[in-house]
Amino acid sequence: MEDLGSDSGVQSQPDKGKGTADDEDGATQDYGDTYDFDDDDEFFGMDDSGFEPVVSSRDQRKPWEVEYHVHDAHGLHDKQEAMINRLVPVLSVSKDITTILLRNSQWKEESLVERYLSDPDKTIRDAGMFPNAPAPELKTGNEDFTCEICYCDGPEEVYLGLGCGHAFCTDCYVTYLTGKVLEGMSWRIRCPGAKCKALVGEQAARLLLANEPKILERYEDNLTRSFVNDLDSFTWCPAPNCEYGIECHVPKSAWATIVPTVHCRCGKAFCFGCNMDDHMPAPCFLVEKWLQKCKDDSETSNWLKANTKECTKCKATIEKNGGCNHMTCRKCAHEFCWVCMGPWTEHQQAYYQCNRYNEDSSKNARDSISKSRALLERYLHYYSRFSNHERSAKLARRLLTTTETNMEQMQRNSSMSWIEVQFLSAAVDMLSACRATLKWSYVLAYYMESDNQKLIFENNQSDLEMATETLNELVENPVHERTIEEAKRLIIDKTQYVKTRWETLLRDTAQGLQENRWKFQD
Amino acid sequence: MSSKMQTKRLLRELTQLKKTPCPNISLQSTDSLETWFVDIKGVDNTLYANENFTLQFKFTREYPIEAPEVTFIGNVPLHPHVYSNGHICLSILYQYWTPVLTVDGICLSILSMLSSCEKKELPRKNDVYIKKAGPSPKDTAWIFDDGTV
Ligand SMILES: [Zn+2]
Ligand SMILES: [Zn+2]
Ligand SMILES: [Zn+2]
Ligand SMILES: [Zn+2]
Ligand SMILES: [Zn+2]
Ligand SMILES: [Zn+2]
Repeated sequence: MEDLGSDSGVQSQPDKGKGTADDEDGATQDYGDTYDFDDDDEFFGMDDSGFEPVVSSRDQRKPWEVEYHVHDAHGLHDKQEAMINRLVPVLSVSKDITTILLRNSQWKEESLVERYLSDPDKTIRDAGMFPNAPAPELKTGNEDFTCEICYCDGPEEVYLGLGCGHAFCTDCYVTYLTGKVLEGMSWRIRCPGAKCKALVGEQAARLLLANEPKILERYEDNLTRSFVNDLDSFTWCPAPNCEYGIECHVPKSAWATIVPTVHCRCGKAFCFGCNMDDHMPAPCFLVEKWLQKCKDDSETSNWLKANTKECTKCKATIEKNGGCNHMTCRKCAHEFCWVCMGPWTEHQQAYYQCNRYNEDSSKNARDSISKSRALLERYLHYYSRFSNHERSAKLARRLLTTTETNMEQMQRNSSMSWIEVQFLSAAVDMLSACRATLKWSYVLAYYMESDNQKLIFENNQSDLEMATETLNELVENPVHERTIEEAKRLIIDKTQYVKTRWETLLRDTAQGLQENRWKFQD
Repeated sequence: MSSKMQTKRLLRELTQLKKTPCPNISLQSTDSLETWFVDIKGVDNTLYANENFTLQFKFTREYPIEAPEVTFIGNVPLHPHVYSNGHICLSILYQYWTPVLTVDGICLSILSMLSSCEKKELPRKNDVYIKKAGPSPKDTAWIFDDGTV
C-alpha cells in the first residue's frame, strides 16, 4: 500500500569490502550490497532470550540470521539526531532546515544532497522553509503587531513569526499546534496563514510548546513515528503495545532469498519483510502466495466442481467415483449422462457415446477431473502437515503450563533445584521453534519442483520432524518408567539433538535459497 | 482557544461585518454569538444574478482554530458543489481551513464559487449523499479534486 520505495531504502553507504571479508565460514550472505552500521548499538542475537544484549559480529552469525538492531524511543531519537548532525556540515545550513529537508525527502540523503547542491534555495523553499530567515524567536514590544487569529494587538503581546512573514500570538499558536499534534502531526504542520506553505519548524514548535510538556512529548513521539514509517530500513515491532523499533538493512530485493527474521526485545520473533510471525524457512513471497491460496481455498472448490454435479432433476449433489458415465441419482433415481448431463435414455442406442460431446472433449473432461484431483491431493498433503504443526505449536504453548507443574513436581520429588529443572522449559522452547519451522517448511516444499535437491531437503525435514515428535512425547510424559535423573539426561540429550537437526534444516535452506538451489512452481 | 479570546474575535468580526460589509454580503441576524445568519446575493452577470441565499454559520468552542459549520438554509442554490440539503463542498471549510480565514472571507469564497459556475446542476450522486450525510457537513469525509475547489 504505502510506497516503500525501490529495492532498497538503505541510506548508508555500501561497504562491500567488509561484507566479503566476513563470509569466511562459507556461508554466503550476499545481499547484493552489504551494509554496515556506523554506531555500536547492541545486536540481539538468536540465542539470546531477548533480554541481554549480545555483541555479535558477522562471524558469529548463523547463515540464517540477519543483522538488525532493536531501538527504544531514545535510540530512535539518537538515530535521527545522528543522521541530521551528519548532514548539517554537508549542506552547511542550520540544523532546523537540514532536519526538515531530511524529513521532507524521506531521509534519502544521497538524492537530497544531489538536489540541494544543484539549487539550494529552491530545495529549501520547496520544503517550506526560508533560506536566510533568522532563527525563530518569541518577540514582544511591537506597537504594530496584530494577531490575525484572535485580533489581540499591542506591544504587550508575545508572538512568533516564521520566514513567510506571518506572525501570531503565542496563545493562538500553542492552541493551533496542540490541535495538530493531537491529530498525529509533527513536522508537516504548516503556518496558519492563509494559503501559506511554510512549515512550522521543529525549533519554533519546541519554543512554543516549552510550557506544554505533555504536548511536546507527543510532538516528539509523532516525529519518531514518522521517521520509522518513512524509512524502509526501520519498522515497528508488531506485538501489541510494544514500543520498540527495529532497524534492518537487508534490502527488499533480497527478501526472496533471505528470510529477515528479527527478534524484538519484547520476545516477539517476526519477519522484517512482511511483519508476519517468523516464517523461516519459507521466503516472504511464498508465504504470501500460500496464505492467499489457503484463503481462496480454490483447490477444494475446483475439486467439487470437477467431481460433483447436481442432479438435473432434484438438484441433489452427486459425486462421481467410478469411471462409468451412466449416473443414477441416489435420491430420485433419475438416470443421466455425467458428461453432457442429458437424460441417459437418449444415450441408449449409441451406447457410451454422447451425441453432443465427442470423445476428445469427454476425454479432456475426464483428464481435467483427474488432474484437478491430483492437484488437490498434492495440496492436501502439504496443507494437512502445515496445519498439523500449527496446531501442535499451539499445544506446545499450552505444554509450557503443564511443564511448569511438572517442574514443580520434580523439584518436590527430587533434590533438584529450580535451576536444575530449567531443562524442561528449554525443551519446550525448542519444540515451539521447531513447530514453527516445520510448519513453514511444508510451504517451501509445496512450491518446490521435485528433483534431487528437493529430496535432500525432505530428508532434513523428516529428520527434524521425527526428532521433534520424539522430544514432544518425552516432554509430555517425562518420568514415564524412568527415574527423574534418567528423564533429565534423556531430555537434555534429545533437546540438543533436535537443535542440531533444526540448525541443519535452517542452514541448508538459507544456503539453498541463496544459491537458487531449488526451482519454485506456482 | 480561551473563550475570552474567542469572544473578542467574534465581536470584532461582527462589528466589521456590520460596519464595513463587502458587496453582496450582509448580516441578517445572530441568534447568539454562536450562530449567525448571513445573506448573500448572486453577483451581476453571473448565473445567480439577483438571487438571494442565506448561509448559516455555527461556531464551535474551537473556533477559529477549527472551521465553523457553514450551510445554506432555505433557498439552496442549484450548483454542482452544493447538495440539496445545503451542504457545501468547499475545501476551505474542511481540510484547508486555517484560523486566519474569517466569516466574510468564507462568504467571498462561496460567492466566487457561485460566480464561476457555468451550468446550474445538482452535484453528482446528490441523492446518495443526502441520504447518507449527517446533519453537519463537517462529519463528511470530503474528497476534493484539487486543492482549489
Ligand atoms: Zn492570537
Ligand atoms: Zn505563513
Ligand atoms: Zn516488540
Ligand atoms: Zn516475511
Ligand atoms: Zn435426483
Ligand atoms: Zn451424454
